[in-house]
Amino acid sequence: MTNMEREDGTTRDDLVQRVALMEAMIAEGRQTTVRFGWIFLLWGLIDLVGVGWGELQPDFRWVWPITISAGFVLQFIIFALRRKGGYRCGGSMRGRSVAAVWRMMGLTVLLYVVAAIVQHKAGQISYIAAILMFVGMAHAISAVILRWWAQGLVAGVWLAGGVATFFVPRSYVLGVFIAEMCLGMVLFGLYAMWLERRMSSEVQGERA
Amino acid sequence: MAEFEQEGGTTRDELVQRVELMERLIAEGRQYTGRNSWIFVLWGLVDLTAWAWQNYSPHIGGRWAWPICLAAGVVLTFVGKMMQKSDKGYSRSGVCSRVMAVWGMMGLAMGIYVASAMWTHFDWQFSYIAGLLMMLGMAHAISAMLLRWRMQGLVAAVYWAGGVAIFVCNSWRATNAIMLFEMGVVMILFGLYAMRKEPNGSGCKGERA
Repeated sequence: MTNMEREDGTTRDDLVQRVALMEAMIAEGRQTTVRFGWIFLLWGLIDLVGVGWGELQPDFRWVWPITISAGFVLQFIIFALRRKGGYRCGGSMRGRSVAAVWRMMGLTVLLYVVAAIVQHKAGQISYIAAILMFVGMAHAISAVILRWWAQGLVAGVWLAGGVATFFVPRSYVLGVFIAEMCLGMVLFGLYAMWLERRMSSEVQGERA
Repeated sequence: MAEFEQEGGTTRDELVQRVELMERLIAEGRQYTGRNSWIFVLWGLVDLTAWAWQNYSPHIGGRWAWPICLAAGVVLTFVGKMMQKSDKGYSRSGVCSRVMAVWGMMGLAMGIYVASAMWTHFDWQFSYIAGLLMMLGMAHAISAMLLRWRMQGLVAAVYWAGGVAIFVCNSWRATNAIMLFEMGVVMILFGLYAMRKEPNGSGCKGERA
């Protein structure tokens, strides 16, 4: 194909370069998510431990405060270890945007959960639905920014879980929560970690 | 200042250009928010109308105050956006698209949450109303970080504080007052502030990143 020139002076090569730049930025943003896939896995397992412990000792009020605190401690330890290992957060604008989405989601959930637990409102249906909606919203924003259909699917699973919480009988709500943790957290975390491993092996292959 | 060259071969001029580009993109994002800030004003008025209807005229279909007002709000938002789209000469930069993604997905999540809670009659729970404020706070906070906009960050903090206050106060009277303040006053005031901040005739005009 010849190098056509448009009315505004933009050549085909310019357009190809712009598309390539956009694709590179999107790929960088996805890499940022993929690098932090272990956080999804970690919090999925932490929440499942919290649910299991709560079922074994339903009268013990400190189950969730202890579990969530342990989650934060573990997250900071793993962060520190990975930083020592040379991992750094993505520096592109798209990567930073995705990081902003997850940071603000974390802060929102933390404030909401702490306030509800302190005031003994953590048993309300709307409380559980809201948490699922927060996570679904963060996944949906990230999926749109990164044009990532797999993450969009995960967002759909979280939002569907939020809706289901309102509609299923009370005894099934815990089942919905466990399903969300397994599908939306653990499975997505494992998928992201698998992608990370594949990407790093591809990079190593190119270097070799 | 003399032109220096870094180890990576990036000159001072290139760095200045990059900073200028980032600043321009952020300014475009804020202009985009300003251009669409009528939506905040609209939803503030919608919420105030529904609240007033439910509290002052409960005998005239008060049960349907929120569903009717929210549906009218959605219709008016779509009509307004359609009218805005017909206003030619505007395009969106990368930052504008990200801000749009934040508000679009917040609208989707909130729409599903509100509809489900109303349908199943769980909209009386404190955690439901606190969840709404938290969701709004989250969207404002993400947008504030993308646009490096301190004022919007403050608005996010006000929404979060409202959400936490609903749990702490644990009373219907306080919840009503907080809801009225957050959904009416804060939303309308921020909308008016963002509208005033938008420079005339600009707003992501013809530039892409």
